[in-house]
Amino acid sequence: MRLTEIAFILAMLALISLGIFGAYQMHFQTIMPVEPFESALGIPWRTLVALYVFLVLIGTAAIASAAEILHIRQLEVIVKDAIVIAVISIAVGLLTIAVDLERIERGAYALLGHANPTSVMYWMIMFYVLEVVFLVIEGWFYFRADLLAQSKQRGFKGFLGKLLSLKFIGDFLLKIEIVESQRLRRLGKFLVNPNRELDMSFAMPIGVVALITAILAYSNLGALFSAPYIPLWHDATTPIYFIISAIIGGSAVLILSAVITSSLKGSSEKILALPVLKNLLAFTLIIAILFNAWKFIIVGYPGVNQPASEAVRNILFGSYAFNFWILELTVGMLIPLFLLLFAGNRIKAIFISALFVIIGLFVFRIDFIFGGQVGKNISGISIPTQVHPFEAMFAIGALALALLAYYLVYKFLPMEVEHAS
Amino acid sequence: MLRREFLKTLLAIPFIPAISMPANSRNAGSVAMVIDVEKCIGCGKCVIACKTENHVPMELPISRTWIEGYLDGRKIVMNTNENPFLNSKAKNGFYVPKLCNHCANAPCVNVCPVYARFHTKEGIVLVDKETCIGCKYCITACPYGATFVNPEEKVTDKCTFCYHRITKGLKPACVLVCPTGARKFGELKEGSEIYELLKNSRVRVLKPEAGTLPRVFYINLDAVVDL
Ligand code: SF4
Ligand code: SF4
Repeated sequence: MRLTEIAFILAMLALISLGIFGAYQMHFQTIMPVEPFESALGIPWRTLVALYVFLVLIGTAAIASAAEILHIRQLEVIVKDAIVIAVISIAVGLLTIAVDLERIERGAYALLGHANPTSVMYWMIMFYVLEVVFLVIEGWFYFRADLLAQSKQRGFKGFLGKLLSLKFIGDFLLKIEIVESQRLRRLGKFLVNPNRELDMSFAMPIGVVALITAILAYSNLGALFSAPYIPLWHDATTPIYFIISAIIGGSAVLILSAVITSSLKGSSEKILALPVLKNLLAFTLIIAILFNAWKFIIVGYPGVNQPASEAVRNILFGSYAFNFWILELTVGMLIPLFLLLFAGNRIKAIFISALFVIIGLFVFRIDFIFGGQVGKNISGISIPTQVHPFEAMFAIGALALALLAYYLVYKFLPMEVEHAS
Repeated sequence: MLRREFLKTLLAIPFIPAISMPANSRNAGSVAMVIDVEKCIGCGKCVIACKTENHVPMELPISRTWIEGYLDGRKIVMNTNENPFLNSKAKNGFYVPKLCNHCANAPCVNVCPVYARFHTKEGIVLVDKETCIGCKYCITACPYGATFVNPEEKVTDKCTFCYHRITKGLKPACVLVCPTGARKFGELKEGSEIYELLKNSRVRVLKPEAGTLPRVFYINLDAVVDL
């Protein structure tokens, strides 16, 4: 292991520890020292909810499934990355929202036993959990042949290959005499022998299910916010906008991962995906700009809905104006769009665009969550102006966890393009 | 064959969790509270009585009931045992006591992912504190800001109309201590005190446009303020 790798792992572990400290403080310190961040003292949904929305709307899942189903050849080189990033971001997102629960230990209620199907939140949790399940299954078929190849290696990698490909179960089924059932023997044979064609015939329909679930999950999250309770959020287009936003997030993160992993590994296959991802990003950015403009005009039109137009004014000209005009719009949309449209296929320009888009998206999530609730006239509730330090610590820790998980996957799983082709 | 069965199993997954779903009761109910704004003097005794009766931390600005003072056009809130109205030099004003409206069409009940909120047979909205996971969706959904996280219990909290008292035939604590009789509570049936009050007064509910069908009624509240 190189020194830089060790330094990276140690830094990530330190940041994760910081996150654990922040989460602990949030839950075991009843009186907040700086600014109270709990409901009634502040607003109910804050940084962790914004981070959750940011993470689960990194829509690489939809891009992976669409690439597979539609046979978009240029994107096939990044399908593995897309699946892995989707699983990690949704899993860390779900962890984030679990930490935001006052009673984490009862989190399972939300899925089992006490589920309220009239609650959009119930469906949100359900769709995202299902999405992870489908992605893992889809990914398993996608990785299986390469994992079986890896199982022949020595050491930890070989062990991991055997374990994750389920080859050890196949070996077991074929070895023991008592297994007379033809079905089990067939299953055993399937598990030990790579068969990419058969794997893909499984992966394809699961990809369709995963794609539908992903679209449902993104738009359901939009529906959760667009219910009529918060004037700024209340808008029938929000679910559609969330789908667009997820594609923006997904394509930007895939560009970043393709460029970074290619330059680290010294290979150029994944760069082949950049032109398609670039066009996808540019196209969805244009739609997002139009969506934003129309949303603000419609929701904030003076004299139509006073709390909503106050919230819009607050974002356009009030305490969120810098975030909106500079970070969200200029950095997050206009500069990237300009670069994507006019800088050709220059990798640096595409990379910077994607980076800027991610910064803009993160700020947008914060402004959307905080700014929306500020607009709601709740008696006696203070207006939040800052991210609480403990929340910030947790957010940093969660992002570090996602990065570390991605790094470990890259280190130990067969992510190379050659295997996938 | 293997593939078909596998896919069938996969498609069944979404239907597994819908287990033991309690029926969502939207009870017509029978009790209500009537608040006479003209009678409220902003003494805040109800706030203190409620916090004491229901173990809500006195020093924190969270309360099941609170008083909004509209003094010279400014809104001031009392939700601890410190009364901000006492030092006010305002010449004009009035006080509006607020609490959970026990909405017949309660957004908080509808949005709760785990059925921790429900209507009793009297139509009162309660929180099942053993079930609440603290997701705070109800706080976002409530149009009245009437619910909050109790930092000691780590679940959401709100007015229960003192359910533990009224089921024993006692009055809610706030109604009991109000020195001017600005708060009245009882069954909404022909001939009852609140029935007569509502019949003979100018009645308003808060934010009727939210469609929540509140069970808390205000009389003599006709000022055009942002409620
Ligand atoms: S006032 Fe708020 S907390 Fe009370 S029942 Fe209505 S929505 Fe629920
Ligand atoms: S905070 Fe509790 S009562 Fe409110 S919606 Fe969530 S689980 Fe239900």
